[in-house]
Amino acid sequence: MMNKSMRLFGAVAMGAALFLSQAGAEAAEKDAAAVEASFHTPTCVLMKFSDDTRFKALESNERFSDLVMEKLLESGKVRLQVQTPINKDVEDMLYNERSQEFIDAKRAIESGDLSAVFEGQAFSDETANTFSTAEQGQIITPSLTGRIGKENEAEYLIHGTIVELGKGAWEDMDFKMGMQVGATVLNNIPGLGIFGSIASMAMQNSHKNDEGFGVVADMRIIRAADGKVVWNKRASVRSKKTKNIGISIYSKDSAELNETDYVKALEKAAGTLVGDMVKDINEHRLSL
Amino acid sequence: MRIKKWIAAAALGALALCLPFDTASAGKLDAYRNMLVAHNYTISYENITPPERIHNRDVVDMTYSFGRIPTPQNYAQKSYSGMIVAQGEKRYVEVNYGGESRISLRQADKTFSFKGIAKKDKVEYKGMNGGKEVTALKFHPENELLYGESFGTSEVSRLLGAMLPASSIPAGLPVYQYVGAGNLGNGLSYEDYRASSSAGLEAIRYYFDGTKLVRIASASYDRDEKGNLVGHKCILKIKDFSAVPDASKLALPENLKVVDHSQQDKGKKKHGFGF
Amino acid sequence: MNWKKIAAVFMACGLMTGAASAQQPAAESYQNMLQQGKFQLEYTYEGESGLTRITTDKGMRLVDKQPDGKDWNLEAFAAGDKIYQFYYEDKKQCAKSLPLNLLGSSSLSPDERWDKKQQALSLPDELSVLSWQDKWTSHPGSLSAPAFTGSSQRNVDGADYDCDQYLCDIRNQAGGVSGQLAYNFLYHEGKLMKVQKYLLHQGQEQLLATLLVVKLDGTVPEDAFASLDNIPLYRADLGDINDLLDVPVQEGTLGGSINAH
Repeated sequence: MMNKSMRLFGAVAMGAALFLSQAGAEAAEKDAAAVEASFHTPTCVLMKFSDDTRFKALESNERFSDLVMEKLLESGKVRLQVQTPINKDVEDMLYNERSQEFIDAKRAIESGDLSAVFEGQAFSDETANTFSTAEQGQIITPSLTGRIGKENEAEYLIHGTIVELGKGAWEDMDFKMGMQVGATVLNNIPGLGIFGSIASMAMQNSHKNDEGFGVVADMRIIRAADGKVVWNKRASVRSKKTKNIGISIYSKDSAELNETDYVKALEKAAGTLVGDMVKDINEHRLSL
Repeated sequence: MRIKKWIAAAALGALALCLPFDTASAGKLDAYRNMLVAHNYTISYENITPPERIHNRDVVDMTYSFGRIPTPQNYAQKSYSGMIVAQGEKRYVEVNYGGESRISLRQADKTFSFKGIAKKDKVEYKGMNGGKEVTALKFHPENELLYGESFGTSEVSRLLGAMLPASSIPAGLPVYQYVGAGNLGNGLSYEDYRASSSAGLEAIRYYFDGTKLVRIASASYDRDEKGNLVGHKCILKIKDFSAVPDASKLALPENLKVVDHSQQDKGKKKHGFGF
Repeated sequence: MNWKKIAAVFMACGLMTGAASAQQPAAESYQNMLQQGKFQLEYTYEGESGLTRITTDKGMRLVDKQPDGKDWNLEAFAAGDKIYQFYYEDKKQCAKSLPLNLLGSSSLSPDERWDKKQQALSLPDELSVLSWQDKWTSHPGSLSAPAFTGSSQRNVDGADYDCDQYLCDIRNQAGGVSGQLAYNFLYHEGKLMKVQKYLLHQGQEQLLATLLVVKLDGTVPEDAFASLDNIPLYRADLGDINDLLDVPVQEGTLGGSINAH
């Protein structure tokens, strides 16, 4: 898409301009130190983010990965070996890496050799099952991360997951109990748990409460050599800047989308995640 | 006719006895099984490997979702901790996401749901909508018999529920059978169970330090939408599992005001025909 | 089975004793109308206000509710291969539809609660005893199908009824029975008035609910589906861009051909 590559070019150019503008007679020595320091910035590659929402078909993850890329380039804190996100599905790659392990493990369990599975590497506390559930300190299959790192000459992989997208106050959606709903309905629906089916029973209107568009997204930095997740943050943001546009049919590539809270919220989330990363680097909570 | 019926009943009884009871495993798990059956315990755990997100699938089959505390959407895929306290007809079930907890409390024939938010050294309790009111609903004893006991989330309910004797688990759920026991090099010992059902294959290993249950690990394998074999794991670190119920949890927090929707009339009026 | 009868004798109140006799003559006609899918049912529960109405005819089922004795609110509807739910948009009645084969889809919106709407179409538990295989009613795997255990006379709240009793076992994995659900169908002069539901567990008997049958007959009024006329119909949220931005797509109007007899 023309717009996308122009935006990236703009960001790279801006980064370069910022760098060059520091060259000034009075700050010559500082410049030398700054230039030297920049050579120690860690080499990274950005993997396309995963989308764990029910809106997978909309490819928000591609859009989001591009936004994160822009912010990373602007930050100047990391050196990106590839100027666009690596367009491969990391969870698929991880699955392929582990598929034989699953077959072997299932066979071992069926034959009664459970220790082969439970006392194996995959079951240590540190081993993460998937990229999206990996927490800080856990390890994702090093054979995969090492290979990606080598292919791209990157010390670190940056990856993330979109966990939630949508309008309305969904933070507590599962738990909202309509207080005005009498016991009638609740007592006589067989088998419903206390927490089931009570939310939105009182909701007559189809439009959710308009609290703007929300995004919950994770970003993690993985050391390629040993697969360790060295940093992992979650951002939960909302954007409520635009009024409801009444047009009823969009396609996921429509230009109008750029003006909606959906895209603005994704931008805000990307900014928050990269901003948190920069802050943690600056305050020495993260050293790459 | 009568004799035949008697034989049939005896045969059924004999068959019932022959069914693989997990209590056939003489073992360290028995002490815990007995606590669960007696409804007299405090369990505190940490789930360090939460499952991947599954959309909507768990609300479709009531057997797997009854009484389960669902994960708030902004805590999806995060590890969590929890606690279950039981004493006779009282039961406290909590799932805690980084200091924010969801709690279900049963006292005799009433149930309550509320939230807890950790602030410094204490916990602030609120109703589900953030205010001070909590709704009392009627407890339905038949639902536990029909769908099984809930220990919090689906995953934890499955792993702890597998410890119950077969007579306490409703028909239709996967049957966990004892596989074996042994010792590990690090001083821990284990007991293994395995179930195979339409949902897939699962093995659960209960780890003991001496006779103390310290960890539960589960390995499960099923097919995804594309038909590929996928493995999942779940590890619960058991922080506490004792026969001493924590009584402080079994009382409703004082600051919450009860709105009672639990009472039905049950025929106190004279109805005659019609109502 | 022998052990079931022993349990019945052991429990003094409410349960049938003695040899099984025949169901009420009226029971068969109720079973037929429910199983053949042509009936209109209005019911509530003792101690609660508000009626629920289920109208079934020609493969369609409509459920509406009357919470306060005044207006009927549309709840759920199924016809053909679709399920429908209803809501208000700026005080105007609207509907959403979902193809049945998408009911378990992972792209459904949890806000639309299609699972709850599917359940709303089911017969109340007490009446499902007469039509266990009802298309819209599901039963837990642990519950056995009901067995008729006997008839007798009963006096409930000062009135005499002819009572038919059915028992369902709640089975456990040990091959035994953890408890039983007992249903007492109370008839007066051939008309079903109430159904009491009991839990029998550990030697105890507990009344769980009493269903009050306001109306149950095999004739469906001509205008039973008239309220479904001219309702703007939207597509269910299925994870597309309109779903994300909360701008539902109109599919047409509910009514017209659906009401044609």
